Amino acid sequence: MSGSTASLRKAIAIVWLHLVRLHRYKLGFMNMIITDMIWYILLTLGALAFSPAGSHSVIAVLIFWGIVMWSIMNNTIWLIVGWVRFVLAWRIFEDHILHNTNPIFLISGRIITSTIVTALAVPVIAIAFYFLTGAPIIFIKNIGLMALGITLLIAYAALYSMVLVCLSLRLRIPGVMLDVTNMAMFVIGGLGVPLAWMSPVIRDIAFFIPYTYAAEIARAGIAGIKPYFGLTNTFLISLIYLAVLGTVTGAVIKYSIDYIRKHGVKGVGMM
Amino acid sequence: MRELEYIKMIVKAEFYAYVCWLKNNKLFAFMTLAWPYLMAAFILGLGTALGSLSVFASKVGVGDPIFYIVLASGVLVSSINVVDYSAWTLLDLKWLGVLPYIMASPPGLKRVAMYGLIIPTMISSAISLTAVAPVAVIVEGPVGLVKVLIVLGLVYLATIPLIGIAVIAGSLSLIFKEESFVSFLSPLMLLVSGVYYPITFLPKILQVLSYIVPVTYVVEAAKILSVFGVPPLDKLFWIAGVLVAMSILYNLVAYPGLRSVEKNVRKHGIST
Repeated sequence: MSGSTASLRKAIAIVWLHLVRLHRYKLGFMNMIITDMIWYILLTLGALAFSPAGSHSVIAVLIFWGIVMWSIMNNTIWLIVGWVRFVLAWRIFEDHILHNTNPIFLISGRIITSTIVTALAVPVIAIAFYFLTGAPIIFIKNIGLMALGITLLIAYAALYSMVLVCLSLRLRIPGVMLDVTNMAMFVIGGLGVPLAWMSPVIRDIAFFIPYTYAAEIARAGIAGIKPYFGLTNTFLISLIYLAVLGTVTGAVIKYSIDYIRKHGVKGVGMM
Repeated sequence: MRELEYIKMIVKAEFYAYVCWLKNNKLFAFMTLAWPYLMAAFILGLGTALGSLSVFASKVGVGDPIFYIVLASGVLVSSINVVDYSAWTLLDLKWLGVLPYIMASPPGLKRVAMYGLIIPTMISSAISLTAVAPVAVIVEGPVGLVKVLIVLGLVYLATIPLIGIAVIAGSLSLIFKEESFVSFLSPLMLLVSGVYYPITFLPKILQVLSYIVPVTYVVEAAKILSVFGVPPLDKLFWIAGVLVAMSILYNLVAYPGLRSVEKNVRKHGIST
Protein backbone atom coordinates (compact mmCIF):
# COMPACT_ATOMS: atom_id res chain seq x y z
CA MET A 1 0.00 0.00 0.00
CA SER A 2 1.45 3.39 -0.98
CA GLY A 3 2.10 6.05 1.64
CA SER A 4 -0.67 8.33 0.47
CA THR A 5 -3.23 5.51 0.41
CA ALA A 6 -2.25 4.47 3.92
CA SER A 7 -2.51 8.09 5.14
CA LEU A 8 -5.93 8.43 3.51
CA ARG A 9 -7.14 5.21 5.18
CA LYS A 10 -5.91 6.45 8.55
CA ALA A 11 -7.61 9.82 8.04
CA ILE A 12 -10.89 8.07 7.10
CA ALA A 13 -10.59 5.84 10.18
CA ILE A 14 -10.08 8.86 12.45
CA VAL A 15 -13.06 10.71 10.92
CA TRP A 16 -15.16 7.54 11.20
CA LEU A 17 -14.18 7.07 14.85
CA HIS A 18 -15.26 10.58 15.80
CA LEU A 19 -18.52 10.35 13.87
CA VAL A 20 -19.34 7.00 15.46
CA ARG A 21 -18.61 8.46 18.90
CA LEU A 22 -20.96 11.36 18.18
CA HIS A 23 -23.66 8.94 17.12
CA ARG A 24 -23.12 6.65 20.09
CA TYR A 25 -22.82 9.28 22.79
CA LYS A 26 -25.96 11.19 21.90
CA LEU A 27 -26.53 12.50 25.41
CA GLY A 28 -22.93 13.69 25.63
CA PHE A 29 -23.36 15.40 22.27
CA MET A 30 -26.53 17.15 23.43
CA ASN A 31 -24.72 18.06 26.63
CA MET A 32 -21.99 19.80 24.64
CA ILE A 33 -24.52 21.82 22.65
CA ILE A 34 -26.42 22.85 25.79
CA THR A 35 -23.18 23.72 27.61
CA ASP A 36 -22.15 25.90 24.68
CA MET A 37 -25.47 27.71 24.63
CA ILE A 38 -25.35 28.33 28.38
CA TRP A 39 -21.90 29.90 28.15
CA TYR A 40 -23.04 32.16 25.26
CA ILE A 41 -25.95 33.40 27.37
CA LEU A 42 -23.94 33.71 30.58
CA LEU A 43 -21.17 35.78 29.01
CA THR A 44 -23.52 37.92 26.93
CA LEU A 45 -25.64 38.73 29.99
CA GLY A 46 -22.45 39.46 31.93
CA ALA A 47 -21.38 41.94 29.26
CA LEU A 48 -24.85 43.49 29.08
CA ALA A 49 -24.66 44.20 32.82
CA PHE A 50 -21.98 46.79 31.97
CA SER A 51 -23.95 48.53 29.25
CA PRO A 52 -26.37 51.41 29.99
CA ALA A 53 -30.12 50.75 29.74
CA GLY A 54 -31.53 51.49 26.29
CA SER A 55 -28.36 50.56 24.44
CA HIS A 56 -28.92 46.81 24.74
CA SER A 57 -30.07 46.19 21.17
CA VAL A 58 -27.01 47.92 19.64
CA ILE A 59 -24.47 46.53 22.07
CA ALA A 60 -26.00 43.03 21.93
CA VAL A 61 -25.04 42.63 18.25
CA LEU A 62 -21.42 43.56 18.94
CA ILE A 63 -21.20 41.44 22.05
CA PHE A 64 -23.04 38.42 20.69
CA TRP A 65 -20.89 37.73 17.62
CA GLY A 66 -17.71 38.56 19.52
CA ILE A 67 -18.64 35.97 22.13
CA VAL A 68 -19.63 33.46 19.44
CA MET A 69 -16.22 33.79 17.75
CA TRP A 70 -14.41 33.63 21.07
CA SER A 71 -16.42 30.53 22.04
CA ILE A 72 -15.71 28.82 18.72
CA MET A 73 -12.01 29.33 19.31
CA ASN A 74 -12.25 28.30 22.95
CA ASN A 75 -14.39 25.22 22.25
CA THR A 76 -12.09 23.95 19.55
CA ILE A 77 -9.15 24.22 21.92
CA TRP A 78 -10.91 22.70 24.93
CA LEU A 79 -12.48 19.81 23.04
CA ILE A 80 -9.21 18.85 21.38
CA VAL A 81 -6.87 19.41 24.31
CA GLY A 82 -9.34 18.09 26.89
CA TRP A 83 -9.47 14.75 25.07
CA VAL A 84 -5.89 13.93 26.05
CA ARG A 85 -7.30 12.81 29.40
CA PHE A 86 -9.54 10.24 27.68
CA VAL A 87 -6.85 8.97 25.31
CA LEU A 88 -4.40 8.45 28.16
CA ALA A 89 -6.96 6.93 30.54
CA TRP A 90 -7.94 4.39 27.87
CA ARG A 91 -4.28 3.73 27.13
CA ILE A 92 -4.77 4.09 23.38
CA PHE A 93 -1.98 6.62 22.91
CA GLU A 94 0.82 4.05 22.66
CA ASP A 95 -1.48 1.72 20.69
CA HIS A 96 -1.69 4.26 17.91
CA ILE A 97 2.07 4.76 17.84
CA LEU A 98 2.50 0.98 17.59
CA HIS A 99 0.08 0.95 14.65
CA ASN A 100 2.07 3.70 12.99
CA THR A 101 -0.70 6.26 13.40
CA ASN A 102 0.11 9.61 14.92
CA PRO A 103 -1.98 9.90 18.15
CA ILE A 104 -1.91 13.71 17.90
CA PHE A 105 -3.91 13.43 14.66
CA LEU A 106 -6.32 11.08 16.41
CA ILE A 107 -6.81 13.71 19.14
CA SER A 108 -7.11 16.55 16.63
CA GLY A 109 -10.03 14.68 15.05
CA ARG A 110 -12.08 16.24 17.84
CA ILE A 111 -12.30 19.23 15.53
CA ILE A 112 -15.17 17.31 13.88
CA THR A 113 -17.05 17.23 17.18
CA SER A 114 -16.42 20.88 17.98
CA THR A 115 -17.44 22.05 14.49
CA ILE A 116 -20.71 20.11 14.56
CA VAL A 117 -21.49 21.35 18.07
CA THR A 118 -20.85 24.95 16.98
CA ALA A 119 -22.85 24.57 13.79
CA LEU A 120 -25.87 23.42 15.81
CA ALA A 121 -25.53 25.66 18.87
CA VAL A 122 -24.90 29.04 17.19
CA PRO A 123 -28.05 29.27 15.00
CA VAL A 124 -30.30 28.11 17.86
CA ILE A 125 -28.90 30.58 20.35
CA ALA A 126 -28.80 33.39 17.75
CA ILE A 127 -32.50 32.94 16.99
CA ALA A 128 -33.34 32.66 20.71
CA PHE A 129 -31.39 35.83 21.41
CA TYR A 130 -33.04 37.66 18.54
CA PHE A 131 -36.45 36.94 20.03
CA LEU A 132 -35.26 37.80 23.56
CA THR A 133 -33.51 41.11 22.81
CA GLY A 134 -34.88 42.09 19.42
CA ALA A 135 -31.31 42.90 18.34
CA PRO A 136 -30.76 42.18 14.63
CA ILE A 137 -28.09 39.55 15.24
CA ILE A 138 -29.43 37.06 12.69
CA PHE A 139 -29.26 39.37 9.67
CA ILE A 140 -25.90 38.44 8.13
CA LYS A 141 -24.54 40.66 5.33
CA ASN A 142 -22.43 38.02 3.55
CA ILE A 143 -22.69 34.45 4.78
CA GLY A 144 -19.77 33.26 2.59
CA LEU A 145 -17.32 35.71 4.16
CA MET A 146 -18.58 34.87 7.62
CA ALA A 147 -18.05 31.14 6.94
CA LEU A 148 -14.55 31.82 5.58
CA GLY A 149 -13.58 33.84 8.66
CA ILE A 150 -14.95 31.22 11.04
CA THR A 151 -13.23 28.39 9.11
CA LEU A 152 -9.89 30.20 9.43
CA LEU A 153 -10.59 30.77 13.13
CA ILE A 154 -11.21 27.04 13.65
CA ALA A 155 -8.07 26.14 11.69
CA TYR A 156 -5.86 28.43 13.82
CA ALA A 157 -7.44 27.15 17.03
CA ALA A 158 -6.94 23.51 15.95
CA LEU A 159 -3.26 24.05 15.11
CA TYR A 160 -2.70 25.86 18.41
CA SER A 161 -4.50 23.01 20.22
CA MET A 162 -2.14 20.45 18.74
CA VAL A 163 0.81 22.40 20.12
CA LEU A 164 -0.88 22.46 23.56
CA VAL A 165 -1.50 18.70 23.35
CA CYS A 166 2.22 18.15 22.71
CA LEU A 167 3.12 20.46 25.62
CA SER A 168 0.67 18.80 28.02
CA LEU A 169 2.23 15.42 27.26
CA ARG A 170 5.64 16.78 28.24
CA LEU A 171 4.62 18.91 31.24
CA ARG A 172 1.99 16.65 32.89
CA ILE A 173 -0.44 19.56 33.13
CA PRO A 174 -3.94 19.22 31.72
CA GLY A 175 -3.64 21.02 28.40
CA VAL A 176 -6.77 23.07 28.97
CA MET A 177 -5.09 24.70 31.94
CA LEU A 178 -2.17 25.66 29.74
CA ASP A 179 -4.49 27.71 27.61
CA VAL A 180 -4.08 30.87 29.66
CA THR A 181 -4.19 33.05 26.58
CA ASN A 182 -7.78 32.26 25.60
CA MET A 183 -9.37 34.86 27.89
CA ALA A 184 -7.19 37.66 26.52
CA MET A 185 -8.00 36.77 22.93
CA PHE A 186 -11.38 38.49 23.14
CA VAL A 187 -9.65 41.87 23.15
CA ILE A 188 -6.05 41.44 21.96
CA GLY A 189 -6.98 38.68 19.50
CA GLY A 190 -9.44 41.01 17.84
CA LEU A 191 -12.38 38.63 18.39
CA GLY A 192 -14.56 41.10 20.25
CA VAL A 193 -13.27 44.41 18.98
CA PRO A 194 -12.43 45.37 15.33
CA LEU A 195 -8.82 46.44 14.69
CA ALA A 196 -9.94 49.92 13.70
CA TRP A 197 -11.61 50.46 17.09
CA MET A 198 -8.63 49.32 19.20
CA SER A 199 -6.24 51.61 21.02
CA PRO A 200 -2.87 51.82 19.20
CA VAL A 201 -1.05 49.77 21.87
CA ILE A 202 -3.54 46.88 21.75
CA ARG A 203 -3.67 47.08 17.96
CA ASP A 204 0.13 46.63 17.80
CA ILE A 205 -0.26 43.39 19.80
CA ALA A 206 -3.28 42.25 17.78
CA PHE A 207 -1.29 42.48 14.51
CA PHE A 208 0.75 39.48 15.67
CA ILE A 209 -2.22 37.29 16.56
CA PRO A 210 -3.68 35.21 13.70
CA TYR A 211 -7.23 35.24 15.12
CA THR A 212 -7.39 38.98 14.45
CA TYR A 213 -7.45 38.47 10.68
CA ALA A 214 -9.95 35.61 10.78
CA ALA A 215 -12.23 37.76 12.95
CA GLU A 216 -11.85 40.77 10.62
CA ILE A 217 -13.01 38.64 7.67
CA ALA A 218 -15.88 37.15 9.69
CA ARG A 219 -17.00 40.60 10.88
CA ALA A 220 -16.99 41.86 7.29
CA GLY A 221 -19.44 39.07 6.54
CA ILE A 222 -21.54 39.49 9.68
CA ALA A 223 -21.92 43.24 9.94
CA GLY A 224 -20.23 44.62 6.82
CA ILE A 225 -17.42 46.21 8.87
CA LYS A 226 -14.52 46.79 6.46
CA PRO A 227 -11.27 45.08 7.58
CA TYR A 228 -8.49 47.43 8.73
CA PHE A 229 -6.12 46.33 5.91
CA GLY A 230 -8.86 45.79 3.31
CA LEU A 231 -10.41 42.43 2.54
CA THR A 232 -7.84 41.10 0.05
CA ASN A 233 -4.82 42.00 2.17
CA THR A 234 -6.43 40.59 5.30
CA PHE A 235 -7.14 37.35 3.49
CA LEU A 236 -3.53 37.14 2.24
CA ILE A 237 -2.13 37.80 5.72
CA SER A 238 -4.44 35.17 7.18
CA LEU A 239 -3.16 32.61 4.64
CA ILE A 240 0.46 33.42 5.50
CA TYR A 241 -0.33 32.93 9.20
CA LEU A 242 -2.00 29.62 8.38
CA ALA A 243 1.09 28.40 6.53
CA VAL A 244 3.45 29.51 9.31
CA LEU A 245 1.31 28.02 12.08
CA GLY A 246 0.94 24.77 10.11
CA THR A 247 4.69 24.46 9.65
CA VAL A 248 5.46 25.22 13.31
CA THR A 249 2.78 22.79 14.52
CA GLY A 250 4.08 20.06 12.22
CA ALA A 251 7.59 20.50 13.61
CA VAL A 252 6.36 20.47 17.24
CA ILE A 253 4.33 17.29 16.63
CA LYS A 254 7.29 15.54 15.03
CA TYR A 255 9.59 16.55 17.89
CA SER A 256 7.04 15.42 20.51
CA ILE A 257 6.35 12.05 18.93
CA ASP A 258 10.08 11.39 18.56
CA TYR A 259 10.52 12.28 22.22
CA ILE A 260 7.60 10.08 23.32
CA ARG A 261 8.90 7.12 21.31
CA LYS A 262 12.15 7.36 23.30
CA HIS A 263 10.90 8.41 26.76
CA GLY A 264 7.24 7.44 26.93
CA VAL A 265 4.19 9.59 27.66
CA LYS A 266 4.60 11.94 30.61
CA GLY A 267 0.91 12.51 31.12
CA VAL A 268 0.16 10.72 34.39
CA GLY A 269 -2.21 11.19 37.31
CA MET A 270 -5.14 13.50 36.85
CA MET A 271 -4.56 14.51 33.25
CA MET B 1 -18.84 3.77 64.70
CA ARG B 2 -17.63 1.85 61.67
CA GLU B 3 -18.99 4.66 59.44
CA LEU B 4 -16.71 7.15 61.21
CA GLU B 5 -13.74 4.88 60.64
CA TYR B 6 -14.58 4.67 56.95
CA ILE B 7 -14.85 8.43 56.71
CA LYS B 8 -11.49 8.82 58.47
CA MET B 9 -9.81 6.25 56.22
CA ILE B 10 -11.15 7.64 52.96
CA VAL B 11 -10.52 11.28 53.84
CA LYS B 12 -6.97 10.46 54.98
CA ALA B 13 -6.23 8.51 51.79
CA GLU B 14 -7.69 11.22 49.55
CA PHE B 15 -5.82 13.95 51.41
CA TYR B 16 -2.54 12.08 50.98
CA ALA B 17 -3.23 11.38 47.29
CA TYR B 18 -4.24 14.97 46.52
CA VAL B 19 -1.34 16.59 48.39
CA CYS B 20 1.15 14.21 46.73
CA TRP B 21 -0.37 15.03 43.37
CA LEU B 22 -0.13 18.78 43.96
CA LYS B 23 3.46 18.38 45.18
CA ASN B 24 4.33 16.49 42.02
CA ASN B 25 2.55 18.96 39.83
CA LYS B 26 3.42 22.40 41.18
CA LEU B 27 2.78 24.14 37.90
CA PHE B 28 -0.80 22.85 38.00
CA ALA B 29 -1.22 24.29 41.52
CA PHE B 30 0.05 27.62 40.22
CA MET B 31 -2.37 27.54 37.28
CA THR B 32 -5.25 26.92 39.70
CA LEU B 33 -4.24 30.12 41.50
CA ALA B 34 -4.19 32.08 38.24
CA TRP B 35 -7.62 31.05 36.92
CA PRO B 36 -9.85 33.34 39.09
CA TYR B 37 -7.78 36.32 37.92
CA LEU B 38 -8.01 35.26 34.28
CA MET B 39 -11.78 34.96 34.57
CA ALA B 40 -12.06 38.34 36.36
CA ALA B 41 -9.83 39.98 33.75
CA PHE B 42 -11.91 38.49 30.95
CA ILE B 43 -15.25 39.71 32.26
CA LEU B 44 -13.77 43.14 33.13
CA GLY B 45 -12.23 43.42 29.65
CA LEU B 46 -15.43 42.24 27.99
CA GLY B 47 -17.64 44.59 30.00
CA THR B 48 -15.53 47.74 30.01
CA ALA B 49 -14.84 47.41 26.26
CA LEU B 50 -18.54 48.01 25.66
CA GLY B 51 -19.83 49.57 28.88
CA SER B 52 -18.73 50.89 32.27
CA LEU B 53 -18.08 49.72 35.82
CA SER B 54 -20.45 52.25 37.36
CA VAL B 55 -23.35 50.85 35.30
CA PHE B 56 -22.37 47.34 36.43
CA ALA B 57 -22.28 48.45 40.09
CA SER B 58 -25.74 50.00 39.94
CA LYS B 59 -27.32 47.11 37.99
CA VAL B 60 -25.84 44.32 40.11
CA GLY B 61 -26.22 46.30 43.34
CA VAL B 62 -22.65 46.12 44.63
CA GLY B 63 -20.59 48.83 46.32
CA ASP B 64 -17.21 47.97 44.87
CA PRO B 65 -17.52 46.35 41.42
CA ILE B 66 -13.85 45.32 41.04
CA PHE B 67 -13.78 43.71 44.50
CA TYR B 68 -17.04 41.92 43.67
CA ILE B 69 -15.91 40.68 40.23
CA VAL B 70 -12.66 39.30 41.65
CA LEU B 71 -14.50 37.66 44.57
CA ALA B 72 -17.26 36.32 42.30
CA SER B 73 -14.64 34.91 39.92
CA GLY B 74 -13.12 33.04 42.87
CA VAL B 75 -16.60 31.66 43.68
CA LEU B 76 -17.17 30.81 40.00
CA VAL B 77 -13.90 28.91 39.60
CA SER B 78 -14.31 27.05 42.88
CA SER B 79 -17.92 26.08 41.99
CA ILE B 80 -16.81 24.78 38.59
CA ASN B 81 -14.02 22.82 40.30
CA VAL B 82 -16.39 21.27 42.86
CA VAL B 83 -19.08 20.24 40.38
CA ASP B 84 -16.73 19.12 37.61
CA TYR B 85 -14.41 17.25 39.94
CA SER B 86 -17.33 15.47 41.59
CA ALA B 87 -19.01 14.60 38.30
CA TRP B 88 -15.81 13.54 36.52
CA THR B 89 -14.26 11.44 39.30
CA LEU B 90 -16.58 8.47 38.75
CA LEU B 91 -16.04 8.68 35.01
CA ASP B 92 -12.27 8.75 35.53
CA LEU B 93 -12.49 5.67 37.73
CA LYS B 94 -14.61 4.00 35.03
CA TRP B 95 -12.09 4.86 32.32
CA LEU B 96 -9.18 3.66 34.44
CA GLY B 97 -10.97 0.36 35.10
CA VAL B 98 -10.62 0.52 38.90
CA LEU B 99 -14.32 0.70 39.79
CA PRO B 100 -14.65 -3.07 40.42
CA TYR B 101 -11.83 -2.88 42.99
CA ILE B 102 -13.45 0.09 44.72
CA MET B 103 -16.78 -1.73 44.83
CA ALA B 104 -15.12 -4.80 46.28
CA SER B 105 -13.38 -2.74 48.99
CA PRO B 106 -15.03 -2.58 52.46
CA PRO B 107 -16.23 1.06 52.19
CA GLY B 108 -17.74 0.46 48.74
CA LEU B 109 -18.42 2.89 45.92
CA LYS B 110 -21.00 5.10 47.65
CA ARG B 111 -18.71 6.03 50.53
CA VAL B 112 -15.63 6.51 48.34
CA ALA B 113 -17.66 8.70 45.97
CA MET B 114 -19.20 10.83 48.71
CA TYR B 115 -16.46 11.17 51.34
CA GLY B 116 -13.57 10.93 48.92
CA LEU B 117 -14.60 14.13 47.21
CA ILE B 118 -14.61 16.26 50.35
CA ILE B 119 -10.86 16.85 50.59
CA PRO B 120 -10.00 17.57 46.92
CA THR B 121 -12.94 19.93 46.55
CA MET B 122 -12.09 21.70 49.84
CA ILE B 123 -8.46 22.15 48.81
CA SER B 124 -9.29 23.36 45.30
CA SER B 125 -11.87 25.85 46.68
CA ALA B 126 -9.33 27.10 49.21
CA ILE B 127 -6.76 27.59 46.44
CA SER B 128 -9.23 29.45 44.20
CA LEU B 129 -10.40 31.77 46.96
CA THR B 130 -7.07 32.40 48.69
CA ALA B 131 -5.83 33.34 45.23
CA VAL B 132 -8.10 36.38 45.29
CA ALA B 133 -7.14 37.32 48.89
CA PRO B 134 -4.26 39.64 47.88
CA VAL B 135 -6.62 41.81 45.81
CA ALA B 136 -9.14 41.83 48.67
CA VAL B 137 -6.43 43.00 51.09
CA ILE B 138 -5.21 45.70 48.68
CA VAL B 139 -8.75 47.00 48.14
CA GLU B 140 -10.11 46.76 51.70
CA GLY B 141 -7.20 45.94 54.01
CA PRO B 142 -7.61 43.24 56.71
CA VAL B 143 -11.44 43.52 56.41
CA GLY B 144 -11.10 42.28 52.82
CA LEU B 145 -9.28 39.19 54.03
CA VAL B 146 -12.02 38.49 56.57
CA LYS B 147 -14.60 38.82 53.78
CA VAL B 148 -12.73 36.31 51.62
CA LEU B 149 -12.63 33.89 54.57
CA ILE B 150 -16.39 34.32 55.10
CA VAL B 151 -17.01 33.52 51.43
CA LEU B 152 -14.68 30.51 51.68
CA GLY B 153 -16.70 29.29 54.68
CA LEU B 154 -19.92 29.67 52.70
CA VAL B 155 -18.35 27.94 49.67
CA TYR B 156 -17.52 25.01 51.98
CA LEU B 157 -21.12 24.95 53.18
CA ALA B 158 -22.32 25.03 49.56
CA THR B 159 -19.84 22.29 48.60
CA ILE B 160 -21.76 19.67 50.59
CA PRO B 161 -25.04 19.97 48.64
CA LEU B 162 -23.08 20.53 45.41
CA ILE B 163 -21.24 17.23 45.88
CA GLY B 164 -24.60 15.54 46.43
CA ILE B 165 -25.99 16.90 43.15
CA ALA B 166 -22.82 16.28 41.14
CA VAL B 167 -22.18 12.75 42.40
CA ILE B 168 -25.69 11.66 41.51
CA ALA B 169 -25.38 13.25 38.09
CA GLY B 170 -21.92 11.77 37.57
CA SER B 171 -23.03 8.31 38.66
CA LEU B 172 -25.50 8.22 35.77
CA SER B 173 -22.51 7.75 33.46
CA LEU B 174 -22.05 4.32 35.08
CA ILE B 175 -25.56 3.24 34.11
CA PHE B 176 -25.89 4.78 30.65
CA LYS B 177 -23.62 3.86 27.76
CA GLU B 178 -22.39 7.43 27.67
CA GLU B 179 -19.49 9.62 28.60
CA SER B 180 -20.06 12.57 30.86
CA PHE B 181 -23.31 14.16 29.78
CA VAL B 182 -23.70 16.34 32.83
CA SER B 183 -20.96 18.89 32.28
CA PHE B 184 -23.69 21.44 31.50
CA LEU B 185 -24.44 21.38 35.25
CA SER B 186 -21.71 23.77 36.35
CA PRO B 187 -22.41 26.49 33.71
CA LEU B 188 -26.16 26.05 34.31
CA MET B 189 -25.69 26.64 38.05
CA LEU B 190 -23.56 29.68 37.32
CA LEU B 191 -26.10 30.97 34.79
CA VAL B 192 -28.99 30.84 37.25
CA SER B 193 -26.91 32.11 40.18
CA GLY B 194 -26.39 35.47 38.44
CA VAL B 195 -22.70 35.55 39.09
CA TYR B 196 -21.99 38.49 36.75
CA TYR B 197 -25.46 40.06 36.39
CA PRO B 198 -28.69 40.50 38.37
CA ILE B 199 -30.97 37.44 38.41
CA THR B 200 -33.76 39.67 37.06
CA PHE B 201 -32.01 39.48 33.62
CA LEU B 202 -33.13 35.83 33.43
CA PRO B 203 -36.51 34.46 32.32
CA LYS B 204 -38.94 33.74 35.19
CA ILE B 205 -38.42 29.96 35.07
CA LEU B 206 -34.65 30.31 35.53
CA GLN B 207 -35.21 32.79 38.34
CA VAL B 208 -37.28 30.17 40.16
CA LEU B 209 -34.61 27.53 39.47
CA SER B 210 -31.98 29.79 41.02
CA TYR B 211 -33.57 29.37 44.47
CA ILE B 212 -32.66 25.67 44.61
CA VAL B 213 -29.06 26.14 43.46
CA PRO B 214 -26.56 26.51 46.34
CA VAL B 215 -24.18 28.73 44.30
CA THR B 216 -26.89 31.43 44.14
CA TYR B 217 -26.59 31.96 47.90
CA VAL B 218 -22.79 32.15 47.83
CA VAL B 219 -23.01 34.71 45.01
CA GLU B 220 -25.58 36.64 47.03
CA ALA B 221 -23.19 36.60 50.00
CA ALA B 222 -20.40 37.90 47.76
CA LYS B 223 -22.71 40.75 46.70
CA ILE B 224 -23.54 41.56 50.34
CA LEU B 225 -19.84 41.54 51.23
CA SER B 226 -18.96 43.83 48.33
CA VAL B 227 -19.86 46.96 50.24
CA PHE B 228 -17.17 49.06 51.86
CA GLY B 229 -16.84 48.35 55.58
CA VAL B 230 -18.83 45.91 57.70
CA PRO B 231 -21.67 44.14 55.87
CA PRO B 232 -25.05 43.21 57.45
CA LEU B 233 -24.22 39.97 59.26
CA ASP B 234 -27.83 38.85 59.82
CA LYS B 235 -28.25 38.25 56.07
CA LEU B 236 -25.08 36.16 56.00
CA PHE B 237 -26.36 34.01 58.88
CA TRP B 238 -29.59 33.50 56.97
CA ILE B 239 -27.63 32.38 53.89
CA ALA B 240 -25.54 29.99 56.02
CA GLY B 241 -28.78 28.53 57.41
CA VAL B 242 -30.18 27.94 53.92
CA LEU B 243 -26.97 26.19 52.85
CA VAL B 244 -27.00 23.94 55.92
CA ALA B 245 -30.62 22.99 55.17
CA MET B 246 -29.68 22.25 51.53
CA SER B 247 -26.73 20.12 52.66
CA ILE B 248 -29.03 17.92 54.72
CA LEU B 249 -31.82 17.76 52.16
CA TYR B 250 -29.72 17.12 49.05
CA ASN B 251 -27.56 14.48 50.68
CA LEU B 252 -30.62 12.72 52.10
CA VAL B 253 -31.52 12.17 48.45
CA ALA B 254 -28.00 11.70 47.09
CA TYR B 255 -26.80 8.94 49.43
CA PRO B 256 -29.69 6.49 48.78
CA GLY B 257 -29.51 7.46 45.09
CA LEU B 258 -25.88 6.50 44.92
CA ARG B 259 -26.63 3.26 46.79
CA SER B 260 -29.19 2.29 44.15
CA VAL B 261 -26.70 3.17 41.37
CA GLU B 262 -24.14 0.91 43.06
CA LYS B 263 -26.73 -1.88 43.30
CA ASN B 264 -27.58 -1.47 39.62
CA VAL B 265 -23.92 -1.53 38.61
CA ARG B 266 -23.27 -4.65 40.73
CA LYS B 267 -26.17 -6.37 39.02
CA HIS B 268 -25.70 -5.27 35.40
CA GLY B 269 -22.05 -4.21 35.26
CA ILE B 270 -20.65 -0.84 34.22
CA SER B 271 -21.91 0.48 30.91
CA THR B 272 -19.07 1.47 28.60
